[in-house]
Amino acid sequence: MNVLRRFMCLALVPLSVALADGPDNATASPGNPLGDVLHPGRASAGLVWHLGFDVGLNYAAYSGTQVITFVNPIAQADGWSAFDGGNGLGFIVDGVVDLSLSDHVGLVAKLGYIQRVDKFSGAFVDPVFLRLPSGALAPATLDGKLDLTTSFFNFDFLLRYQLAPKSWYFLGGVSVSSLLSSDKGNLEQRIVSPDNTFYLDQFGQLTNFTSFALSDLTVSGYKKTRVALKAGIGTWIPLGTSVFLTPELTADYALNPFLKADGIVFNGVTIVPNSDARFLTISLTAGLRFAL
Amino acid sequence: MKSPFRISSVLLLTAMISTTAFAQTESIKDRQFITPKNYPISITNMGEGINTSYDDFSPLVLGNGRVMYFTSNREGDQNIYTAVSSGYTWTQVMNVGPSLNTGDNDGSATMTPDGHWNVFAACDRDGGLGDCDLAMAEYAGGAWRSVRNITTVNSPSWESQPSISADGLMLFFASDRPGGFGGSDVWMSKRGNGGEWSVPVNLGPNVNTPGDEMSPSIAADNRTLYFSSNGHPGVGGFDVYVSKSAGDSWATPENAGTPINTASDEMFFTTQLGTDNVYFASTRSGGSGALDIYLGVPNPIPPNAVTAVIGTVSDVKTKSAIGATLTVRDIKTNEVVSTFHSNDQDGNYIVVLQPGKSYAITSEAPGYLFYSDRFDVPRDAANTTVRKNIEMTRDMVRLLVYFDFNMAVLQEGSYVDLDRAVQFLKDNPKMRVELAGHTDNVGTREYNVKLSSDRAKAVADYLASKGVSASRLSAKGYAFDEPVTTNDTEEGRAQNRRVEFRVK
Repeated sequence: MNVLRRFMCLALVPLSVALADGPDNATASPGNPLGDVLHPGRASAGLVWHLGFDVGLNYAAYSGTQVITFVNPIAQADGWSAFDGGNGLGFIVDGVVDLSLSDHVGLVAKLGYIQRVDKFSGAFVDPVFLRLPSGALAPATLDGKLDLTTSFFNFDFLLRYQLAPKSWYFLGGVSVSSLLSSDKGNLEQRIVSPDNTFYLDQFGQLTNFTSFALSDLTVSGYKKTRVALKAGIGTWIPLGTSVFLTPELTADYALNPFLKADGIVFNGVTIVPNSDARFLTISLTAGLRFAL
Repeated sequence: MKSPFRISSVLLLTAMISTTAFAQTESIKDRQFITPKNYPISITNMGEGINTSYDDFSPLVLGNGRVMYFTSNREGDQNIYTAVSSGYTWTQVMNVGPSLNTGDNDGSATMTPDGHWNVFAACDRDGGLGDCDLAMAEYAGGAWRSVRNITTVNSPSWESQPSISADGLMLFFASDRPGGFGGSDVWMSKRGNGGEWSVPVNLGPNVNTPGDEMSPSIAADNRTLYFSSNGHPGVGGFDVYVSKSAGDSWATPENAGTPINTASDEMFFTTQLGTDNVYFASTRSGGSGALDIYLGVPNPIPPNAVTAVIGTVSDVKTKSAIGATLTVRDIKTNEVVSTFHSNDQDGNYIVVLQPGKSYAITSEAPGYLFYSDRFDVPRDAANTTVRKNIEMTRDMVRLLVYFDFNMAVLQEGSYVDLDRAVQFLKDNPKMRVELAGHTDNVGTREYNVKLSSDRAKAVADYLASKGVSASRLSAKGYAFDEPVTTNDTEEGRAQNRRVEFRVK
């Protein structure tokens, strides 16, 4: 939450700047942007700066096989799981700098914070062996669910194009994410077969439990950075002479898997690759833009 | 999982509510919202051609009702466009071209009713004072010429959205220059006898607020000011307001009510001379997008009535159009009230007269004799349009002189035209003229010969008393020998009673 607080403060900085430079204090001057017949101190053409912030929802849809490694509480050994797809929902806040180069084209930079819970479910692809009281190992089939909380910084560098000034616009560009945390996993796994078998758990205790839950799971293999292509639409809704509400719908498609490509490596050999793991995130936000 | 979802949902909802609330606070400050008057008005979107998905605003329908000027950024920059009325629709939308438009923003043209003087916002031009400035242009030879920055009015701040009064002597505009009441205010400058514009004055706290006051429009009566504001109590966004002048001050504005005003922005409210039509721009829903231009009928708060004199100025022989200057003088005080011009392409002119006075309108053009007509406008006159075609001559003109009944004593109202005759003779020092007196056919010939001769001589004596050499003047009475029309009617007889100025 400290990170979140920090970002809320960041978002409020441009807000306070905009308040200080609001319409009543605005005085156009030769140094100001190009003049506009409609509005004082606001250009419809030329360089115009907008500062602002966005808040909203962030949704992620995963495709391909996601291999996640963790300590297997059942098998008394490191285990891994491969989940076929998943999705997640969280929130996004960001600070925005928007530079209008003309009536139609602008550059947009966003620095944001995203926190999201991704949900995966599926079968464990690695054969798990249960240690029987006799000491023998019995193969078992498990399935599971994983709720994984991730948080990361997001930096977007986008080109904005709009058909008419202060109307609907299109965004396109690059988004770079830096992972802050991925260690808040909640794992539920269930022994599908054999049924009702007594075995020794990771602590050597005899048990016949068929399901287990593990919180604060550490999931290794996440990449620290992620690059994605981003595109979206938005619109300017005037709320005053220099204040705009800007709802946006954006989607970014990760160019690289969020997990390391080599997946599960045993004795230097990749057992389960991650190369086909991709995910798409969609953000629905509402923001304010203040013309400077 | 539930917790982050809840957090994000609450955040989004809170953000939407707070941003909207904040923005309203930002735009209206302490603005009060009112339940407006509702007027039975028909509102019509001007439709395709005029309106696009871009900003289309600042409509101005010239006095002849056939040409509309407006501003649009449909081609990128804000430019001035014209459209022609076909009677039912507006067609032939055209960019007025480089005479007014540049590669930067230009727009919000205002004109005198005759379409001769044009003041518009010209932004970021070389030699400008900064941001948008007001520029002035003159229509001559079928094009806008002599575009110049009105330096006495402009400042390094933003000046835009001008409105020139019908007499061409007052210029209202919006500016965010220092010295106002906050945001954009309405300012006014007056034009002196030499054509120079005075240092602008703020219209004061009755009109201006800490919010934004924009797009002033002074009606033809020179006393009714329409403007838009987001600071006065209103319906939402920019609303249209009306303020009447009371001497040098302006009365508390009245909201133009619904359906003119909506929660969206309504701006650039203008009237059309001689009609109940009003035009304005609005961002209301149902339009083509951004600002659209609308027609409203009738005007919910009309200005005071005026009399419009319209017609053409042409050569009496060739019938070709003449670009003449029409000077309006108060016939009692001989003071110039206003000056208008006829279009040198088609000869059309429009002169606007305020009620409660008698006027002499004198038409002058190089190479022609001056010609004057009298117009008496009662104090309670309704909106009236008078058609008067003027045919100018090079060798003879009827003087606008008045005598006491059956006497040769000049009445006070005669001096307007006689003084113009004096100036004309001084400007043409080699010219010799005959003052020819005429009467109607009432009375004997002998009596009318003497009366017409005495009246002609009275005119000659007045001219001589003003410095014209008596040797250049001759006076002769023609009695009723040369009537210009029938003597069978009072109107005809009045036209036949005259003194002519004949070049010899």
